Amino acid sequence: MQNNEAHEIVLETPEGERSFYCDRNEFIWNAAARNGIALPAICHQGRCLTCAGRLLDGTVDQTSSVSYFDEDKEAGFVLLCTAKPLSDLRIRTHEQWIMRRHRRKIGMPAPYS
Amino acid sequence: MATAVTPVPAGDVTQRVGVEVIRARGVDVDKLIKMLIANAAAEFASTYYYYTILRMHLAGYEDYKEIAEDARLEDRAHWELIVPRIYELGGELPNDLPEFHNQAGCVAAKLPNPPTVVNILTVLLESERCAIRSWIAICDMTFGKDPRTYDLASRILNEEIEHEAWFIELLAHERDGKSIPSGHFRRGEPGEAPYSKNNRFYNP
Repeated sequence: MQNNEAHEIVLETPEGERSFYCDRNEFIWNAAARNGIALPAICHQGRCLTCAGRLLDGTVDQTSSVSYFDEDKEAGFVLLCTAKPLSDLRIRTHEQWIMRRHRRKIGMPAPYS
Repeated sequence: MATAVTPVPAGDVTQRVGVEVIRARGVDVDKLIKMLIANAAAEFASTYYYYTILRMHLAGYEDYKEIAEDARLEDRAHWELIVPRIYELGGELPNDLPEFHNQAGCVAAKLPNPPTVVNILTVLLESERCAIRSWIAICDMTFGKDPRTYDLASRILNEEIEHEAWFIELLAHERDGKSIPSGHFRRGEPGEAPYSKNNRFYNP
């Protein structure tokens, strides 16, 4: 589904690097699944942090997440279940426990922790 | 093939055989406790509490009120069902309600603005969907390893799946003018919870 509205996404997963294209209006998690890449997730609301990743390069639209804070953005975290690409991206996946520790450290909601 | 279990000395009350046997079968008990607390928080604080408000705002839709009430009371039954298991496993609830609320893995089902019937049904539907995802994660984690937690989680999952079907039916009717039957009829009594109430497991 590569077109003018799509961006290249490179994921650094525990199993190695994977890449695919994601439409500007599509959630990155969904595009990954469409490309056969199984990423962790539970709520699909941008709440539980299970899908957390670390943004290594690029910018995302995280406004669909119900629970995403400026502090998360400053620390470089993204919630892939509700993130849309605003540019080509490089993201390290499987960061849920690191993000939960970050949230607890700053006294913010950290479900499942 | 036998599974190695750390022996619990006779009379030792600091360990539980009921925990060691599932740990020996590969369950990360500490992680399971956290997941159960998150799900308990979602049942109690994200849905049961807020569904109390949502049903109040379904004026003119008395049948929808009753269905929302069934879902509300059944979510409370889920909370009641799962809390004892948290303590059995050696866990405990946070002794602070805001902290407990913050552990919920699903967003709070707050009254939407404007509180139209379509908006309320949408909140109800998405809440049930999050619950399904949350409980099947527990089922996946415990299947074939921890039959007691699996049994509780699968009974709750049964009802969450029914709740989703109810709200798909109602939302499709209200918003899209479509008929997508849930396949269900009303509960025998409000919040009957045919799967998750301990004394109603057999419910002919």
